[in-house]
Amino acid sequence: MKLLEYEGKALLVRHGVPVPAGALWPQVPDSSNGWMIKAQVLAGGRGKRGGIQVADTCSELEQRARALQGSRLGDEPVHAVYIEPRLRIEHEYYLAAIVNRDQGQVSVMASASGGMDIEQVPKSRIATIDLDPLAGLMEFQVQHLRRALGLQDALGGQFGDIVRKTVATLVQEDAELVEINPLVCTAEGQLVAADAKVVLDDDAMFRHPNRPGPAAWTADSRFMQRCRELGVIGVDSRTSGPPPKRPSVALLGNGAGLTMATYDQIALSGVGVAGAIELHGALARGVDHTAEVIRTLFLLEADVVFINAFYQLRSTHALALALLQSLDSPGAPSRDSVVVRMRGVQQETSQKMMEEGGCFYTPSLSEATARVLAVVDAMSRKARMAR
Amino acid sequence: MTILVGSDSRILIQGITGTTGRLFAEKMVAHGTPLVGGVTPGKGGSGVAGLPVFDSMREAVTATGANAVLSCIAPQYVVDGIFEVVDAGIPLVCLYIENIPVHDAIRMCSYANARGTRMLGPNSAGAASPGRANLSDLNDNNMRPGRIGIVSKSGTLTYEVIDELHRHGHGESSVVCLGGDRVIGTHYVDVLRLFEDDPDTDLIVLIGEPGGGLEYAAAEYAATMRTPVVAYIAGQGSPQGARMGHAGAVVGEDERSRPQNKMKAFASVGIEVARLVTDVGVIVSRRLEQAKAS
Repeated sequence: MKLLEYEGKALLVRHGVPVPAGALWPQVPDSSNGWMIKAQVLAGGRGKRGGIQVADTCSELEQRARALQGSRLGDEPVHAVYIEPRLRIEHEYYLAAIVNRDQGQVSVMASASGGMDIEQVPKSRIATIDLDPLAGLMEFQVQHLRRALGLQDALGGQFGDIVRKTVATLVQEDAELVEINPLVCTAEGQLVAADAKVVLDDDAMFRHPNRPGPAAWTADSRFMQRCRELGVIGVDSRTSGPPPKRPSVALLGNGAGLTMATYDQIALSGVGVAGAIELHGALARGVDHTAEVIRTLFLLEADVVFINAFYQLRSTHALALALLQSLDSPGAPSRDSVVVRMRGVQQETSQKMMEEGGCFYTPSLSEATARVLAVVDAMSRKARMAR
Repeated sequence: MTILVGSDSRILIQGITGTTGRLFAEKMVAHGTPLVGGVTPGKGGSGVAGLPVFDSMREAVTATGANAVLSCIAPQYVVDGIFEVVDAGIPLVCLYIENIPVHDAIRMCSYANARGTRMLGPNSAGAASPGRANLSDLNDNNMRPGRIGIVSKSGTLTYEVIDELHRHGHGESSVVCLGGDRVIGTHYVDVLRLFEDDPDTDLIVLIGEPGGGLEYAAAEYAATMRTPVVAYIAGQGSPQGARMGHAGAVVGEDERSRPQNKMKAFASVGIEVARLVTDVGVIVSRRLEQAKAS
């Protein structure tokens, strides 16, 4: 999960990385050099879109912060407004510690060309070290980065310290990314993390029970919040781009791969997908729980519901029961708009239940896909005739 | 011949006395998988499915000559458990469990690699060679011995592709699931190398997904192989930034993470790519015909 700048900086502070003494509006930190007013959004490039502003006086600050608060930056609501004393910038560096997935290691990247998108910086201007987790960060590696950035003496010392603390933040906070861009060298000769982009590992939340949930979550759709509460994986395509074409399809699958493949079967045929739920083991938590998950799928308000479950060692009986239960709930879609593909132990029982319950059933993914597309097609034609 | 597991495997289940471990043990025994015992600290001397339970991996290896482990232990013990398996010198371990913190995965993979243990997972559905040995969550009744190899991150997509192959009259030589997590112990390339040396595999289906870039190294190696490869990359329609169930399967801002670019990487070296999972069977049949003709 991505954190907002101020949440990321709070983690850096815990590990001793110097950051400007900021505060969330309407609190205002002391400053002798004016303020930076920073919209707290997850999307990058906020500076270019007016999300970072300068104020020299208290009245400017008041006026600009007030305008940003509660506004939107592109598709995203401004979750909060963060105020920092303005730094006197001498130079901007780049520093990031990341989980390097393909190598299975932590990598640290640093560059003297900070302050811009790191993708725009030529590779030759970026120094990288890879950390063997069994050995940890070694001093010679820190020296390598220092030399690459041309940092000597006191500044080099500060930099080495920040590198070690940034790696500590990544590992101890269970983060996948800690990016400081820019790492500012001030006119006073201090290195300060002027921005912070932190991505935390969802799977390590249990190790940090006292850490508050990310602020950006509160802006999520009711569907996404409900999925989180139920311990399933939700994808809300209505909020992650242009609204899906109608008639649209809502998907329920088990397993990430199958859910993605099912999504492709529909989306690549040019039909709108409103969103999807990956059951993520929900079936093991019983029929009532699973029925609640399916009712959550209905929150997507799609026109067609496509259930695609493929189990090896488990019966789909509980899923069939849960589906029928959820279809009896108020607000449920009509049964002729439900397409069910279920495979599992004793799938014949589920087939009988589905057919008696008035839902289309097939054990074949190809047939199920064809059926979904046919139902969508019939709905489109009906809608055209009504116009 | 088979890869990773076969008739000469001697398998242990770590956590054999737990609910999951017991189920796997009974399934393996019922279908003739060469299971030789299990390990649960404090339960040494007892038995499950007619097989001995040991207190430690080292004891179990000494007593049984085990050479593969299916790890079915609770998440809080996983790191310690995998270190114990590696320490006992076992060459293959499958870590079935998911939602393992990525920094734990990094430590486990590094230790396993450094000490010569091949680790499948975390979040791997396992490996199987139908009719010989099944170190996976696949149902033995859903597999059919044959000559197609499968390597996939995802378990459920493996089920789907197996179903596809059967509909077109094919069976599987060996099936390997790498796991859907961000950092995993065994990569596509490692498995492709094994398949390339397997005289009983005529073609390999490689199933990829969004996130990371392990597919690129696979495409590069596949271009040099004698055995034909057919690729399918799921998640082409997935919205950017959405975690699609696998911790690793996220279409990121990074271009390399996108399925479309992975598909291009395979296509550009002459590897045929299926657009939909339901296209895989037809393409495999055609590709086999071509290979036979040439």
